Formats: sequence, structure tokens, C-alpha cells
Amino acid sequence: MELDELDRDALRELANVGLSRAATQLSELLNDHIEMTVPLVQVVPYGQVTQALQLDSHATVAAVWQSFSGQSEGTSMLMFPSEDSKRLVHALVGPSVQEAGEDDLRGIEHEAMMEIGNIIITSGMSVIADMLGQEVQMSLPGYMEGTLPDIMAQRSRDNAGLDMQAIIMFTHLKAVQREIEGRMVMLMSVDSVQVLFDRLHKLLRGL
Amino acid sequence: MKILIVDDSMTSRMLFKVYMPKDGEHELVEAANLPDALEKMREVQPDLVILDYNMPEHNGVEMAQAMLGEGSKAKFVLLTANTQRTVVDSALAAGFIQVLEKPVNAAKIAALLAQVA
Repeated sequence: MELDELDRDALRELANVGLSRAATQLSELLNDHIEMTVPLVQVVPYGQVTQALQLDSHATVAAVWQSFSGQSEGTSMLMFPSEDSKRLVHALVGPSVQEAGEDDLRGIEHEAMMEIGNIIITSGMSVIADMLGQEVQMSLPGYMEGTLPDIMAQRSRDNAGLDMQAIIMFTHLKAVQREIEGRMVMLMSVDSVQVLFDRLHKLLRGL
Repeated sequence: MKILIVDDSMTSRMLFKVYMPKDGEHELVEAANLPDALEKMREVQPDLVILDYNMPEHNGVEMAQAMLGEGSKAKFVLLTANTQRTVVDSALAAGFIQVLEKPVNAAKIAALLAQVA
């Protein structure tokens, strides 16, 4: 898909607004100041997502995803390196984790990550929808821990048959007391990406 | 009223312009970074400066401090979706009169301009 400079700028601003709201939510969850870098945005074919995310393909990643539907449809994913996700969970539900037995620990971590992901993804997607003057419906969150190729293979099976593009919105989120690196990715069909750009162009023309 | 909007995003500046009242009473000047903003500030002496928070090199609060250091008498408003308490507190401490939450729309901008007028 060919993007001109205004398309890229518009995507960066959507990412900036969505991720800024997500950082605000994370700050409230952790009661900590979250610094975020200016987001980087790329649109890549689905098959190039693993490479574009610049994650070690052998490293374990914790991913939360939610499907969205409305005028545009797709999946939003929030990913943290596994160690960062554990820091997040401990910051949020530390006392519960300390009291839990080994068997319960993973369950608590999964539940906490889905809740954190749900809050961050939903707030980010809602503000993007507001900006576009659109409605968005979000599914329940899903969670998976594994290597990035494993996670993308799973999502690929769920989206089989669709010509998918990925909008990668990437920022470093850094809590004052905890270094956390997050990535947010939107996976959309080519048709849905086109709907999003059409809406952006109309908005910028004041329609 | 002369308004200077400073945002590295052309989209954000365009959206602000799209939603501004078309009453002929407001003049909007744009800047994308600190040197550009300082130059426009000297040229037009704005009454109101709208500053994005999350920009490369300098955030909106740092830019306001630089503009105040050069003697600007404008009122400052921070434009951001990052409404963390620490961000809002730093803006208010730096002399901003308000935080305008992104995304903007016609009603938010009209309310802001009515308040500032």
C-alpha cells in the first residue's frame, strides 16, 4: 500500500493520541509517571510484522489482543517482553502474587495481563475512534505467551484467507521506577485500512 | 484573537483549523517545532499559544518555558491525550491556563476560545 506524507503524518497522530491515552491509563493503574517516546508508525504486509517489530524471534513475548469491528475491522495487539510483563503484573497485583502458590501464579499473571491489556487497548482504540468520529466494538481480550513467530502464526490462522496489512504503532513506555517496553500493533485487512484512510482524508477536508 | 498552534503533526494542526469557528475573529498561525514557534511568536505576538505535549526534542511545557523566557505575554494551553496527573501538574506549574484534551472537536475549541476571550 502506497502512503503519501500526509497519510504517514495522520497515522502518526492517530498513534500519538491512542498511545498517549494508553499511557495515561497505565499511569493510573501503576500510580506512577509514564514517559513515552514519540510513536513510530509503519504499515507493512502481514508477513513482515515479525521483522518490523524488531524483537528477538527467540525471546518470549506476552501478548494481549482484542478484535475490533465497526467501519474498520481488525485486531489490536499489545506486546511486552515477558520479563516486562511480569514487572507490570507484580506492580499491579504484587501482594496476590506473593501469596499465591506456584500453580496459581501463572493464572494470576494471565488474568492480570488480560485486564491490563484490555484497559490499555480499549482506551487507545476508543480515543482513535473518537478522533475519526466512528464507533468501534471491542471483543473480549485473548492472551498468549510465546515467541513472536508463534504468536503471529496463531493470529494468522485466525485471519486465514484475508489479505492483511499491519499498522505497527510502536512506543517505549517507561515508568519512573520500572523500565517497560511496549508495542501496540493493529492488524487490519487491506479493505479496512483503505476505509480508515478514506475517513481520515474526509476529516482533514472538513467533511 | 491571534492564535499560535505548535504541533509536530500536520494532521493535528489541520484538525484544529478544521474545527475552529469560521467567524473571522480568529487568526491561526502554525509552527512545527521550537525554532519555528519562536520565530512565529516574534512575528505575530499571539494572544493564545496552543502547544502539543509529546513532540521530538522539546515537549510542550519546555517550549512554553522557552517562549516565556523570551517575554511572551500569551496565554498557554496544552493540547494532549496524555492527561497523566504529573503532566497536567507540570503544565499548570509552568503557567498553562488549561489542558485541552485530544482529540479536539468544534465544541471543545469553541468552549476554550470563549473562556480565553
